[in-house]
Amino acid sequence: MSAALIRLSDLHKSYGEGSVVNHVLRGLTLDVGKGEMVAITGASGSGKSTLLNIIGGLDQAYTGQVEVAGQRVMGLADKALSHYRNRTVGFIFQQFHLLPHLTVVDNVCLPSWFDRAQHGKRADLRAAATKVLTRVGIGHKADARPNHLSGGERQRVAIARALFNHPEILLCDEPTGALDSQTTETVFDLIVDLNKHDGITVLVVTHERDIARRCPRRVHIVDGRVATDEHDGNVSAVGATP
Amino acid sequence: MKLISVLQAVVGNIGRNRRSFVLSSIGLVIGVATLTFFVHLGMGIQVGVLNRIFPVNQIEIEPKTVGILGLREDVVDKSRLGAGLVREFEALPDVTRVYPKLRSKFQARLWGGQSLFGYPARTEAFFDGLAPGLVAEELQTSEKVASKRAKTKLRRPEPCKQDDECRLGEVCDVQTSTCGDIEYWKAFVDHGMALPCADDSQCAEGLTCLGKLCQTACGASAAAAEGDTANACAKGSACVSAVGDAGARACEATCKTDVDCEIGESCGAEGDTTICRRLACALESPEDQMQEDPIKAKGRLIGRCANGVDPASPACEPLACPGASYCAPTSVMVATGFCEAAVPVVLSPVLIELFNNAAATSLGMQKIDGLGAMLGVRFQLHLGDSYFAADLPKERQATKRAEIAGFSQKAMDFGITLPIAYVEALNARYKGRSAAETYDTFILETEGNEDVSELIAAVDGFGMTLARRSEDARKAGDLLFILTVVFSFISMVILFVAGVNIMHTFLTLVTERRHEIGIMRAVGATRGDIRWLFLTEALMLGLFGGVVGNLVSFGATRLVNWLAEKYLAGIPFKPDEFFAYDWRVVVGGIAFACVFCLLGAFLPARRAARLDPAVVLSS
Repeated sequence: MSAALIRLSDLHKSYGEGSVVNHVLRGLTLDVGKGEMVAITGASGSGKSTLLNIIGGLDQAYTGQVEVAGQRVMGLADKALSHYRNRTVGFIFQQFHLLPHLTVVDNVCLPSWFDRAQHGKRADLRAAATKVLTRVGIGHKADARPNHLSGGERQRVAIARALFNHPEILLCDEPTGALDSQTTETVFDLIVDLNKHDGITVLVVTHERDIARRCPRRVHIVDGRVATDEHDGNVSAVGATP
Repeated sequence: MKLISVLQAVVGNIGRNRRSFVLSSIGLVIGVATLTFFVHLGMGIQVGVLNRIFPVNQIEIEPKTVGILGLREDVVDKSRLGAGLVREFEALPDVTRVYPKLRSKFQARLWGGQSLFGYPARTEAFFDGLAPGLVAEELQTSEKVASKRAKTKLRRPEPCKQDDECRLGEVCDVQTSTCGDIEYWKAFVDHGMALPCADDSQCAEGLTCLGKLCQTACGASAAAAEGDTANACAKGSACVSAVGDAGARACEATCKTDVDCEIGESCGAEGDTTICRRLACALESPEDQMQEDPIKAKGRLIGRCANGVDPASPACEPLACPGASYCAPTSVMVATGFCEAAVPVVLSPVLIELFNNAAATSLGMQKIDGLGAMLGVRFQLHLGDSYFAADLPKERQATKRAEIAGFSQKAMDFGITLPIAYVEALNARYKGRSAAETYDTFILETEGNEDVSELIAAVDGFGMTLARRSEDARKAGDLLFILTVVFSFISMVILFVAGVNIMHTFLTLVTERRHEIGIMRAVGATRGDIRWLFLTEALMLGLFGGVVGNLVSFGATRLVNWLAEKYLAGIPFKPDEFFAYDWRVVVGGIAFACVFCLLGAFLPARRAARLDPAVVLSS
């Protein structure tokens, strides 16, 4: 295993107040190495998505330590945190979350709007976006609107958007949850390919066994802790349920 | 977030929410349109009406009076209100010119207007005099000289040498030698009169009674009258033998042709120079001067014949008074006198309204539609005669023909206004020199729009106070200011309501776009970026509302001007332009719209910025 890119230690997170407090994460600890592809599985409400939001810097209301690429994510100011989301991580959601009024290429360019270091001309940005779109296999749909695309195509656009700023980490929250089985295959093939050929670290939250099985490492979360951490051919039970 | 990206995002957002964008801007458009409309109107009335009628740099002052047992008494010694006081006022700081006004001090009647009313109207004549320069601009405006000239330019130019070569209603312009419309305002200057006298005290200051006529004495005659101080003539005039007294000498203007001389004068050789001489004339009988007939009024010249024969011979073909002049006998008792130009008269538009509203209705006379019809109308002045007071002896009474030269708010409200030189001369003729030198009010002209309260305090020391008219002007200005403020306040309320409406719209937008906000936050938008997106959209809305509001306001001002021109043509002193446009008002209107938009969008933008991206993306 290569050096840890993501270090999570003793993460606690709860929703609600008073008697209806729902403890989602209860001291979760996990290290992910650079270039790894990890499937995160668990029952609904076990804290899988919350974990991705915390790593991605979307959720700051937790306790514990999150270190990504040697940088502590917790306590970053809004600007630094936004820059982190813009450059270090890329999100892929189950519902694609594309902006319907923008064309495909403009959706892919979206991260460049908020990138202060980006000084490219609009044409250059579009060229770069088209390149990424070609990489994910839908370069020919650059000027279409998202609502004219199929589910698989939309998810490819979302992947292209996540890749636009060349992130180190791809955070995929049920990336194939809204796709049929055939499309699931091709979209996931793409994600696997990005990990294998481009060396991007990928975290995939999924409840689909087939998907999880294709990841070299599978982390199973139960009751807010890592229950099993399974590398291909090597299962280790981390925190047992008390 | 870079500006170009913000604009790209905002333009996209506006594009897909066109309807709510336009609906939210309606309030803004109405608010801005109201604001700029009324501010432009207020400024227009101030500049186009108030300042023209009562220019801010001209204040009229009059002697203070005190009430004693129900009668008003002047505080100031009347004898001080002369040329000396004018010079003292001119020495005051800020004062650039002083225009004295002088009222007639003797009885007179007037009649005429048969062409206008169907039969001659008669009335007592009250008149005052003011410097022609004071009203020149106003006369041109009320006569619409600019449009007259523009129309003349459109016509084919017709060359001419004399007025009678031109069509009716046109005169020959000496400078360009082409025919053009008569410009009546040009007549409002001192054409001079041949005024009979018994001694010097009946002549205005600087004139001497020579040969029973008031003349400017020079040479030996002046030396006898005023010592050695003033025996030379002014530039452009020569010292020649006086009219009616070959032994005395008087100044007369030098000339080359008749054109250089006043109406009713002729250019002729006198010794080694050529000078203007007033033409002597005679009517058929003294009674002719009481008639309106313009042909009879011209009389015949004495000592001149059209065919150049000896004037005493029966073959002599008589000549009439030339051009626009008529024959004015020196008194009602005689038929002989001199050719003179009609006395130019300026009327107050108030007088016309008074006539239309009261006199015309009760006397069954034709109402006067517009002022243009009255220009050039002639009537007769009967000096020394009165309906109210005792008449002067017949031999001192005289008639003069007068012609309406224009309309001015500075003219007497109830009476007629002449160039001041006429009133000085006539007052001296009928009431002695002191009456010619006692002015009634003074118009002080200052440099600019500075505060005149210091000046008013300064003239207070002379026992003078602001004349009622100037006082009214100040009150009118204050009232206009208050009205403008009230309407501006109303438009502010409209803008405020529009702002509240915008807040509501933006709150809805934030709810609608919470997913987008979450996505943007996920790909790197800061809270500030989200806030800016909404505030910029609000700013765009403000700019749009402001610009459209100004356009609507401009359209409304054009409409009002057009309607006024179409339906209110008869109202005297209606300005062509009710509005004064100022780019600062336009920019201010847009700025107000933007400010209210930003205020309205502030809370929604803050709410949008505070949305938790993790929550909105998972919902």
